[in-house]
Amino acid sequence: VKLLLVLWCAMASAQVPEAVDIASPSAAAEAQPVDALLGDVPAASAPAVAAITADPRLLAEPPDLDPPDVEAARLHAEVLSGSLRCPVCQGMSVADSPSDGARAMKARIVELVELGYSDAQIRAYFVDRYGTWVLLEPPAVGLHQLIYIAPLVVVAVGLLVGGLFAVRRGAATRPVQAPPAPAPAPKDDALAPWRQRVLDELEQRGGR
Amino acid sequence: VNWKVLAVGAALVVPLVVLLAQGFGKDPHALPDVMTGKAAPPFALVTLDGLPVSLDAARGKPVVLNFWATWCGPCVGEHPELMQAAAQFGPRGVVFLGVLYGDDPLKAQAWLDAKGSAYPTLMDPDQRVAIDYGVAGVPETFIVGPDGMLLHKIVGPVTASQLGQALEPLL
Repeated sequence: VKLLLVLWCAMASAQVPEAVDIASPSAAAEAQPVDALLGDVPAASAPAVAAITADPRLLAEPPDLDPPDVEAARLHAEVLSGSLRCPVCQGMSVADSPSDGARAMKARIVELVELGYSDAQIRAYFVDRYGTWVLLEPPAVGLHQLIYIAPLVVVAVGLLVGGLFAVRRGAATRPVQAPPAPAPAPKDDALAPWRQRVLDELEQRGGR
Repeated sequence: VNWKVLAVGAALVVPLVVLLAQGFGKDPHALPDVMTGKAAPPFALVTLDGLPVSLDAARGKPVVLNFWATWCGPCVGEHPELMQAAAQFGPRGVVFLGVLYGDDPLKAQAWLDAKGSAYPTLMDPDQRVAIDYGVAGVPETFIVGPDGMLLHKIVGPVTASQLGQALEPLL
């Protein structure tokens, strides 16, 4: 990668002189802050500067795992990038998005997987930079728990309210059925013979 | 009026209205800013001219880091503002750096030659630095304090007065 960087740098500088001739004022304005910025770093020594910062591919911490083989890494990175949200198109995962930014993110994920970084490390890397927003499936911590709990609460409240309604309706209908029961209750001894006769006749008919 | 029904209705509707009011007040495309207050991710890149530049070299000075591309309309729009701010604050010790985002370096150089440039633009071949800074699109502008901490993240076109307000306290 360093070599590539140096190569690109050489390519770019080889191309620049023609361009600078066209618009020298901007080139003059440009040169001053670079020199001021670089200070004691010798100019045109990309390897020297690259040496100051470590391998740019590495994260702050070392990889958790041993580097997997290339094919396994590619497949794994595909799955992992399917769980991360593309910051450019937003509604899609990094794996699905055709945008330039998403492709760069996917390349970075492949690179990190190849280096042996674990899923947790890679997710943490992106969450650090884009927030939990970047996870298509938000973790159930803090306010995010609401997403998982709210449906259960709504269903529970629904059942509770429905149950209460049913109980109240049951309580309301029972008194309507109840009155006929006490109605035949008053037993008049004077009517007893008649009652007995009706019962007897019914029995006779049933017997026929 | 059935106060019971009214109370239950209000209990159901009011939180919903509050939720919607909050949601509609937000830009659904805006990402949360999680970078401000963190240490600026270090980088060592090469300018369009082929000069190496690292963030470490700017330690002790405020840095304005602008991610841009020639194909991005708002970047084209904010360019004069950045030029103006660079002319004003560059001599006072603020380091201005552009970072090219998903664009051809030669095209960018030609564009800068035509429109003028007041500070160097760095090439970020794999957008590694852009990802490191949590860039979701261009333009995005970061202001790094002299201590290397990220003090501001400005999404969308930046103005000279915005930059002035952020930089003045650092000088």
